[in-house]
Amino acid sequence: MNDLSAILTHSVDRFLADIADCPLDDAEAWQSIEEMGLPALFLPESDGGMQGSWSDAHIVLQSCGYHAMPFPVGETMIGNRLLQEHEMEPATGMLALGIGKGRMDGDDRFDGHIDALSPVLPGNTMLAQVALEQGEACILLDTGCAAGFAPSSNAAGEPRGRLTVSDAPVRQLRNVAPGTLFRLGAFLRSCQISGALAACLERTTRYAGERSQFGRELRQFQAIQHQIALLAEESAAIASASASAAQALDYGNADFAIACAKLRANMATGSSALIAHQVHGAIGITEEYALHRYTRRLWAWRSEFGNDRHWAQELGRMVLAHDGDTAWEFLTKRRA
Amino acid sequence: MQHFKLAPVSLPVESDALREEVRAFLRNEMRGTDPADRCRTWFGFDPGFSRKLGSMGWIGMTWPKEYGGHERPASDRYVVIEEMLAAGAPVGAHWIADRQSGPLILGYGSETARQAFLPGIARGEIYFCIGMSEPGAGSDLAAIRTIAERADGGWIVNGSKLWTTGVIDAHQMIALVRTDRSAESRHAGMSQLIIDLDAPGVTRSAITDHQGEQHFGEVHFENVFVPDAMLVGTPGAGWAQVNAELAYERSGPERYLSSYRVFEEFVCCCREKPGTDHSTTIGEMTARLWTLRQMSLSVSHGVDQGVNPIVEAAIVKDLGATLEQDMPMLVQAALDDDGDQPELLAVIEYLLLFSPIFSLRGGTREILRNIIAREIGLR
Repeated sequence: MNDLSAILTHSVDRFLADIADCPLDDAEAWQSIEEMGLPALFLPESDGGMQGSWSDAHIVLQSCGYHAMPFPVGETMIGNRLLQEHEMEPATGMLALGIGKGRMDGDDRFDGHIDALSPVLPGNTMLAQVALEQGEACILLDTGCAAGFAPSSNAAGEPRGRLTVSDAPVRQLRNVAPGTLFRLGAFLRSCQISGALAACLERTTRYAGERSQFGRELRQFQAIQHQIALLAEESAAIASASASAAQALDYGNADFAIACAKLRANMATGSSALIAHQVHGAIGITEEYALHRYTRRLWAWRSEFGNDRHWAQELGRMVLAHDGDTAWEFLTKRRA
Repeated sequence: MQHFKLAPVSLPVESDALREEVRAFLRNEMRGTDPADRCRTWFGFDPGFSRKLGSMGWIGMTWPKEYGGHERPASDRYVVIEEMLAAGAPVGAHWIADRQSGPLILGYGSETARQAFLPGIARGEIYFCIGMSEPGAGSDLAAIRTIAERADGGWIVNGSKLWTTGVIDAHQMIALVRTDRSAESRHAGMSQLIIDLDAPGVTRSAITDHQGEQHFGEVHFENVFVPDAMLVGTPGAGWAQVNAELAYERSGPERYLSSYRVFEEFVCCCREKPGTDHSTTIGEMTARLWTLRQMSLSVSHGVDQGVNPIVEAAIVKDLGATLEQDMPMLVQAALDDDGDQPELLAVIEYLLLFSPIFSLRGGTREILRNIIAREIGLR
């Protein structure tokens, strides 16, 4: 662990815990996130950043999931990195990520729609991967230029929505490999799922020690122990998978690792959320009890930036397309 | 936040050349091997193959040269064994000696025992088995009753061991026995002895499993003399030593690769027979295999660094066994039922029948979940 990751591990967790309950429009809370330097984590020190690696980012993103962070910390951090790689100014304020479809008029006007996969507040900029008739583009736009916005929310109640864009000015990021933004979003959700699983495990373990039935604490029943052990297994697996994907990003060859990590994370969400609720009993699904902050996000994030079917097919195709003696060669050909 | 000791580990770039060397060796050695035979992997017994690996320097790789080892980094050994398992090479003869008995003797054995066994193990000539389970002691290992009593210059052993993998073909057993019947705690008074399976008073018999294989067996000891130098470690420390040994037993790639061949054969069939889209099934298995490989690499690295990742090793083994059991079922469920793939069918059938053992050997699923529960503070 380098110096930065040691600092992040100790400081970010405490910091995020303090602001986890703030509403999304709490400008002061967002300002404190910026002062902490998180949106600029990847940027060079000369631009006020930390020159952080993907493995450093993993610590922050996992912690965001662990605290059910309402602010788009990861989205902004990753968006700013893409902007910086293309010699564009980092966003002021929150940055939204979106996936859309439409057509470009020249290389600076877009017409179509974009689904926001993170909150959009007035004045936010958005970075979107848009499918075109031929190929795709990665574009930066001011959400205020959209002709319409149909707000919605995901299963966790996190704000989402669809922007209708008619011939609005955009800036195109050139030379972004196809699918980059979608894949980085998948990486982000894998890290957040890892954090949310850790939160479920911790809360469920604690509750099993507090609640008694039949004159015994729940944790003393072997049936309960084994269910929570399964939750721990999934939590450990996704911690490993998401950290490995971060390492692969640092090595510069992460398409396969991210596909594996997001699919494996998706696979962990449903059964783990149900175990957490089963152990908690009815109180777990009440509004006043905080478990749903994590379990609802597990269910929601499962389908964002690629559901099980999407990544399974993508991975299956990668394995089948490998032109070598064995599939094993393909599984082992990367450093991470 | 619960932090599991699973930081990503990368194999060093230098190990790539070794991997290529191992692959070339295996392509040559395994050419024409029946796909179903490849499913035995570390239960496949082939002394000729083991001796070849010994001559390549691929057994006892990390041990000191003075004991026949090769002083290679642990990452080299990991590369060799994962390549062997993925190819379905018959590594069973030397497997337990290389993984477990050798390191145990190196760590706790007498100088006599080290010199007597380690060079022979590294040459691929001396094979070991592990004597733990008994007729009345399976998951409840502390219930063992095999007893070793003090005698002039050694010990006299009486009792029996059951479900011992490789007992028929092994030369030596490291057995967990009671050396002090008066010990107050049931975990005290146990010791580990190296028992020569050809010694007078030892009788072995194979047990045939439900598909006709004789992977394990039973052994009886009647007044078997074991010299002092064959005591491993200190008398009474057997329980602690066995638990330390389990880290080796639970951390390796054999804990998620036992059914790997069905994946490889399935992918191969799908490539040769396009038309049905099995990419989803292949993708799901790929994500689980990759994740377990990352976890296994971390845990093995931890063991080599002297960390004892108890809960992580138990997690890898439980998730690994579940994947090993799921894979033949997933492929069976997805397969076209047109009789066009007899070799793949044979692999599926072999692994389906083999698969119950995956969550029994080396600690049952229930024992592992008890360990996980204890380590995260539930007990």
